[in-house]
Amino acid sequence: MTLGTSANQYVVQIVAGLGSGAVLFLVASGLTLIFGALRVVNFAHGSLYMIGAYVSFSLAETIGFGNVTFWLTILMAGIAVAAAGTFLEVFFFRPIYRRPLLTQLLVTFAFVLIIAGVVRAVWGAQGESTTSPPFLRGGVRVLDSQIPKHDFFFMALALVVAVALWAILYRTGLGRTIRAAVSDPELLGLSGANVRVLFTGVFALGCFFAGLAGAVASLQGAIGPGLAVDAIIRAFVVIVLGGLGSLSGAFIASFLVGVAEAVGILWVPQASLAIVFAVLVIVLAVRPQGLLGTRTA
Amino acid sequence: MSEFAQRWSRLPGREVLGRRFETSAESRRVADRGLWVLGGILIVLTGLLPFFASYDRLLLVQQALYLGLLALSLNLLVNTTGLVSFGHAMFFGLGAYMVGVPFAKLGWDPLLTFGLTPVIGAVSAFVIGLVVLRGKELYFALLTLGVGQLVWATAHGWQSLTGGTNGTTGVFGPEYLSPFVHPNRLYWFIFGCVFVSTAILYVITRSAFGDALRGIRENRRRAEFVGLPVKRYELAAFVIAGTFGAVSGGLFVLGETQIGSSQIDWTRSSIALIVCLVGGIGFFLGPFAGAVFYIFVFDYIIEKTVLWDTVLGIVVLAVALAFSGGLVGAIHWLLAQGAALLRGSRPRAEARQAVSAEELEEVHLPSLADLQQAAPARVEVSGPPLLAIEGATKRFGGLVAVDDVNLTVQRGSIHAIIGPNGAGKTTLFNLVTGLMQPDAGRIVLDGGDVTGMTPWRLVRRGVGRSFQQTNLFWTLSSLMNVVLAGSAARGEASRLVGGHSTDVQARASELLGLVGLRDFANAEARELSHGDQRSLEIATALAVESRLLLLDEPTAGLSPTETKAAVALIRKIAREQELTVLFVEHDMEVVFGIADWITVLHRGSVLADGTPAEIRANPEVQRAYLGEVEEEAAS
Repeated sequence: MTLGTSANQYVVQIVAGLGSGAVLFLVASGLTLIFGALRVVNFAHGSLYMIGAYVSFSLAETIGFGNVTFWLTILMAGIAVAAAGTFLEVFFFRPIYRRPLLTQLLVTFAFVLIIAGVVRAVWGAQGESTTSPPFLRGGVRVLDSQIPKHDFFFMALALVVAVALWAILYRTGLGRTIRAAVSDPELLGLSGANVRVLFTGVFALGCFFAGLAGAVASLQGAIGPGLAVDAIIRAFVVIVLGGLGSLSGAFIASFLVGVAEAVGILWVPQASLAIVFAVLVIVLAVRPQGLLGTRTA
Repeated sequence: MSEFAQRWSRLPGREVLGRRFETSAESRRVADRGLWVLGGILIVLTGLLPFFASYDRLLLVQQALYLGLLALSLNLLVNTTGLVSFGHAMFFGLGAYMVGVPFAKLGWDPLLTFGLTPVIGAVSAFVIGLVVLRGKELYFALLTLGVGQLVWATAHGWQSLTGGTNGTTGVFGPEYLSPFVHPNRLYWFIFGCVFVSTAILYVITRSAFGDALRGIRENRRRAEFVGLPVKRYELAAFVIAGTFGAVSGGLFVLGETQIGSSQIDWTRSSIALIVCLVGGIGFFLGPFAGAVFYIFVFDYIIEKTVLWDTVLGIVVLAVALAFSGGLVGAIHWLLAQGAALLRGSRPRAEARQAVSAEELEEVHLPSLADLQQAAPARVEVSGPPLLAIEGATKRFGGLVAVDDVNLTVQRGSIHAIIGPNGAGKTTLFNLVTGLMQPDAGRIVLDGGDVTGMTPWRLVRRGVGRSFQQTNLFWTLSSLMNVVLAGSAARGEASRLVGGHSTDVQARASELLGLVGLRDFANAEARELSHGDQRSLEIATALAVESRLLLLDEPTAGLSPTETKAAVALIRKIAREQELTVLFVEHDMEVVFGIADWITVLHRGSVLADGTPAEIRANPEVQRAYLGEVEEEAAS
């Protein structure tokens, strides 16, 4: 391997890693936001992301995936998933906030199973190949390689979402209430805020981003029933690494994990997964509050 | 901590049976016996299965046996110890590869390597436990998930060794069955191994050690303050669970002749949890019921509908949200209803005869007159001090909570610490009992330096403690609260076989009588009234056979009558048993009523130290403390 091709490979992998890290952030931001406010680790978050992917696939088949309908499609996928999330939260998650940890985790895991079966029944077990809208087809030439345009689109979207989230959280009254809920939901409840409705709102917001992430993930060319479990495990790694409940931590950790996975494949392809989990374990054992979290274990 | 206790007090498996359906205690006892008879019959039938079941059925039951053992070992963590592990399949995997890989690569005898599965399980669980037990509750769950995935990813990625997802499929040829000659013998071998493992786990669950684990589940801090080395016990439970998890993995390879990485990932760990939950988490054999349900029902459903995992999810949801007793809970309930019908009485009518709420509100202390009579004259305060605090200092950031405090507590005295809120009283207690480490200074107990010693070691050296907020093993009976404390303080709670010694049990009954709770020995601690809980707290602190008893506001939240009774009780016990008592109290009537010696703390320093008469006369104290109290009272 000459130095030139090596450097080239690294650039390609790093950009690809930033792209997948951006999608990861869209998933993980919702998960960490929901954990921060509701204190529930939602295993079904990856499944909601998968619903977003399949809904956008079906919508694209119906209304097409043009330069305009694309935006409509991903927006509708986000809204559909937010609606599904609201349904889950109101009817199934509300009763478990004060229940034992085991009940919480297994109730959310039950939806991983339920949604997996439903998705397989509706869309089949084989997976589907997906297309991109015209403006995102093809690649951009970087050094000697073609880098898919959608990777840059993912990064732009992640930045927009990050800025939007920041603006909502730090520049609006609603955001102040959400942040108060993250730091102490009980105190907020005592101060008269309607915590129930707020929780539902936070949940729906998190699910909207999961749906959005699922919708744009279909730009990578294929979707399948394995998306849910894959996404939730990687999102767990990200939110733990960044610090449970920390959005900025999740932002940094998403790109770290995305790039580390992509570059790891160049070094030791078989061990790349093991490395990710080893990092997760070390962080949890040594610094359970994660990179940017403040809460102690 | 108390929130955690309350969460656990609503442990699945208890509420449905105990409350919602209101079967009488008598019917429940009949149902308990019925469950054991039913369990015994089913175990015998399972052992005799090859004589009457088809080969296909036999294979399915065999699968339920390994899965059941995996879930049963997990239940020791989840139900008994209160540790929710999301990575238990890793031990299953380690045991399975222990058998599969040496056979595939080196041709080692599977039976020989199977004999090593408990060893690899125990050793790996010990190492992994040291890491994952650093996390509590959710963090423990995530850590086990992470380590489990690390094991999975290693097996998945290391294809040359394990074969990855495809696994070591069909590594065992027909010659492998040779030691068993016939499939029935293989079945009996597996049944025998599962039976022996289950029996061992049963003995452990019923032992003094099992009670200690339940104590840790209910209240970690209390457990440490009755002298249980909590971390070691949790690690021991983790090692036991890992050992039998590995055995179940080894059996899987013997039975199925293959192992692939997809059988050990986190979804498999979740399945093991689901099996526990669906079977009935509060029942010892629940995991086997769950395993049979899982294997058979899904063998059936998976052929009928593509929605098989949706069905499983709905079952999990229903059990978790609505019927937390699971399958065995349902059977138990039916048996209890049947028993009630047979005895010709309706269960609802009986339920009303149970102890009424009003009765629970009373405090059950011995009568005041007896206590005052029993209290002998004041003890002479002399000899070397039992406890000496030398220059103890504790800072929290910029705040100096305890500032160079020197204090001696005489043997046999009743010593009060008073001072306004924020004076550092509780922090000083925390330093003495090992909950916190002083930044400077020494704590000397009976001439020996005990600075920085862990709470459970201090308990074993005779330092007992009650807390300002009631701190009990909430869902254990009153008697068990006291028994466990006595057993732990003597270092007998580590017994894996057999219960608590008769000595400890007799002493516990005596103590319960002493605090007036004899009639409530079998009531759960959370069911007692607040006053009774305080009494139980004192009995627990006494059961550790302490020489030095630290009581943090023993009368907090009690009515004036209750306070008088509690004070008389403390005084009586202290005098009779030659205990040294150090207590924090706000109620001046209590303090001046029973203390031989009073230390006044103010802003972290000792303001005054002397007999009650000296303190009462001290102008500085009046100005700095008593005055403040009066101002508070006036405002």
